[in-house]
Amino acid sequence: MRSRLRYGAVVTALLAALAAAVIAALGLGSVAIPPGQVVDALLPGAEPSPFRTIIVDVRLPRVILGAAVGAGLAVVGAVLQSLVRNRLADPFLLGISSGASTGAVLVLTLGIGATTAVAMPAGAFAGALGALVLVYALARRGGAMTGARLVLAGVTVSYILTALTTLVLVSSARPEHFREALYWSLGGLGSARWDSVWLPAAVVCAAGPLLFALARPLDLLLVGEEDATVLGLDVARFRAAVFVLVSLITAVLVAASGAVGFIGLMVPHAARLLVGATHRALLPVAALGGALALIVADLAARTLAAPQDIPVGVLTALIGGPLFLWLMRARTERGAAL
Amino acid sequence: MPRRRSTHRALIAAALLLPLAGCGTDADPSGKPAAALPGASFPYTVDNCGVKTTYQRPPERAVTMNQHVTEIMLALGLEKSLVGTAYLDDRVLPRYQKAYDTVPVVAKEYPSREKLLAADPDFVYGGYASAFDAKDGRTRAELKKSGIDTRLNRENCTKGRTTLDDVYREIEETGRTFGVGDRAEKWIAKARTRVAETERELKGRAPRSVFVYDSGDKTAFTVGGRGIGNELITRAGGRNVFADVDKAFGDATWEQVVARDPEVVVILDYGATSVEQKKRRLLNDPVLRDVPAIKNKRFAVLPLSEMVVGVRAPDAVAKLAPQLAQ
Amino acid sequence: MSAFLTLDGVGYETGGRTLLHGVALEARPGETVGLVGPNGSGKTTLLRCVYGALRPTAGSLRLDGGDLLALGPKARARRVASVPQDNPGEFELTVREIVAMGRAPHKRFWEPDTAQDASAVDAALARLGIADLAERAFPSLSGGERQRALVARALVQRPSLLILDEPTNHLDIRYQLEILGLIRDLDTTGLLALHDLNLAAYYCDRLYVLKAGRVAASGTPKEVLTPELLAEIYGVDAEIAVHPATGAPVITYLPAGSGSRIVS
Repeated sequence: MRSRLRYGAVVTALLAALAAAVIAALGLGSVAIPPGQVVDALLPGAEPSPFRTIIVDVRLPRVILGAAVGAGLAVVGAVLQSLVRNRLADPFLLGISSGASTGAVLVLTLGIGATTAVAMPAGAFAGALGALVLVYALARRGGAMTGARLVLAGVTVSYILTALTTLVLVSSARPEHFREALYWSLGGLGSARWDSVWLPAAVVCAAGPLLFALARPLDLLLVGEEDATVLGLDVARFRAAVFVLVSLITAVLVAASGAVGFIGLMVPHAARLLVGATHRALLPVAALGGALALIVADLAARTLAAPQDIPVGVLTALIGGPLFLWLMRARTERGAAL
Repeated sequence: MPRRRSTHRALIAAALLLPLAGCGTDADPSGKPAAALPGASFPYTVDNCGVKTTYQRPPERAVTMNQHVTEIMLALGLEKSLVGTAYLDDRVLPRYQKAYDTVPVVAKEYPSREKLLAADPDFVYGGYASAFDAKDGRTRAELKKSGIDTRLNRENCTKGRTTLDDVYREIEETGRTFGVGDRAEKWIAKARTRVAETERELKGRAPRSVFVYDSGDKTAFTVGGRGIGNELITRAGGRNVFADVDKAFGDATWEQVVARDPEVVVILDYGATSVEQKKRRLLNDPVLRDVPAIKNKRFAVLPLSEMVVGVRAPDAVAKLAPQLAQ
Repeated sequence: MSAFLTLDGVGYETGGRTLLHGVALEARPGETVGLVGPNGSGKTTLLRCVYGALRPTAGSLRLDGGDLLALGPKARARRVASVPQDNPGEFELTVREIVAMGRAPHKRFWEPDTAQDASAVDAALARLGIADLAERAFPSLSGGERQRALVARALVQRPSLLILDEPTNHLDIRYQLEILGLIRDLDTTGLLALHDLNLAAYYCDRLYVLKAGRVAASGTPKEVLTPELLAEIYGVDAEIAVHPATGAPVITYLPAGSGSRIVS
């Protein structure tokens, strides 16, 4: 039974947890900073100091990027699962991240651009767009874009691009590219800086409400192609448009942080268990949950092995995997009844 | 480079097939070298990375894999004992170029097992663990079955920190294996003198704190305390700020780089990304703007090909010291 | 609230196969029209053409004189509702959520549901006798309960033409009668595909018999359901009587070879 009260309680709890996570993520890290100094550093007009640099220039953009990427991936995952009507879909199913990897690796191996810090995200975004165009064309070829056709096109493109990436890496004369490519694709928030974090943040802030406004037609997708048609949705066109939209969001997120796995698969799933599958309820909870999950995972990634940094994608999968299994089990035990 | 290539490959393997990720390191239980007699002294028994071999006579048909062990052989004047070399990182030292050119190159990178056997070696000398890669059927045990003795650079199996003593011992053991222990002693004595000179020059100066930048945007891929890199920096009058990372290489968070306040950045020079590009990346990072090394643009360069347990190590110390002291 | 549906020369071809050949059909305002015929005769294909899941490759479909094919999906959905064949879906929507989707054609994308929408949903749930299932997960329902929920959704759509494909599948006999009775009593014009000829005979005003994508016969149940037709279309022998109480034809299937006749 999902009453308004319960929904309000879920959202309130998530907001509180998110606030706590943000405070923890600013206060904790591989460098220990006394709480008083944390507050001082955040006050306007504070004296420049290494602590201030760490909190204001390292941790704060990192937390913002984590919130944007986490919320974005969770929302995109939820929408994509509805789009292909399969809850095992994730934002990386349809070739976008593979395209991004190919783009990033090409930039890396061809040595394009002055520094990898700028060139790799740019290459990744270009690659993701290329994959998007390819998947779109394949899925539309010879008829309407059905969910099955979209998955088929996405997975095919994904495989081809992954193979291409591997080929480029293997034939690269520079073995260090392996490492850089791998680290890039594992995903992490360590490159968050004020001069770049605004883009993913702005995209998520704009796209979130837009997708929320599309909650009703997204709901219709849940009941299947035929029923959605009967209920007045131009399914093929709507699906194509939403696919392009979520792919663009994914491209921006992947370019900013690499492919952080599992958030987009697990968070929507958990959110559905909490508040049900209708998008008006699901999307806000998924967004909060995604932001929370990634901020916490990133905090773990940069403190567990301090002074070293573990790629956060490794942690999300490592923690997310068992959690996902547990959720599935909990769901089976409760039976299909909600 | 190959040392790290093996790491890269392992990382890829870890990403693709997790179960393969564990890689054992050979232990070297014998603490001290066998009886020290210069020149030829056989039979000679040596325990190298857990493989005990007794040589009745010097190998005559050796193949080297990886640049720095090729250079060790050439430094010992053993080009006549070589029937093949493989895998240069960049180029062999100019002073060995002539000798190097007299030896056939078996493969540009690692040779396949077949290609290796076709050279008909009685001894294979590998620089990195990846030289004896199991997937290509080139493990030391398999080569032994084909009657081929092997040596692996001891950098791959040191316990604790790798130091210049490992360099000396590598050269000594290789020399003795080939019956030229006297040449090895001579080389080691010269190297010790060279390092001692640097040490004398640095006397009384406080060590400069050093952050080594290898690569990375999301993290700072840097040199930890275990590898030969840390030793070279220490000997050259530096103090590696990430010496507490108990690995040869590791990923540090950028906030740690800020917190550790290094006075000098040592840029590792290799590969497609130029030193200039790396400098620019660091100088453009707003996070680092108050770090003394960045604020004062204090950069030093260490070619990765010198950061080896090989004959370049003493030169590397000598070249790095003035850069750190500037 | 009730529409006049006219089909003329409707054909559908896919992958080189013609599934419908020049189908002409009429459903007058308020009528309940049944489609019968053996499996594969084209009943579902024809219905899908009408509710817009398929685009016919020939012919015209008119609703109240206007071109049905020219309507946008949303405008069409405000006038034509359908209960497609059962399809539980993977996501755990509640019955109420499923039924409320029937309001979609009447709303803007971003408009939230109002109190009027909620009461329309409540009314439909009550009418189908599933008010107590409202918060249950749709996939956890029995086939019959799901069927009733989908009919409720179609009612919430407030169509002038209601299309049902085998609405009695999975239903206990009591609910079969209830649902068909409900549909017959609606003002809405009904077009339904039915398997059970006795139910078709009783609840439909007129029947169209499809065979291999063509209309083989049409008319009132009495006119259409003859032993000859059953023999020709279904290849069965049957005895057809007129029920004294209902006045509808009643079919009794006979084992092969025992002959068929009309008892009056």
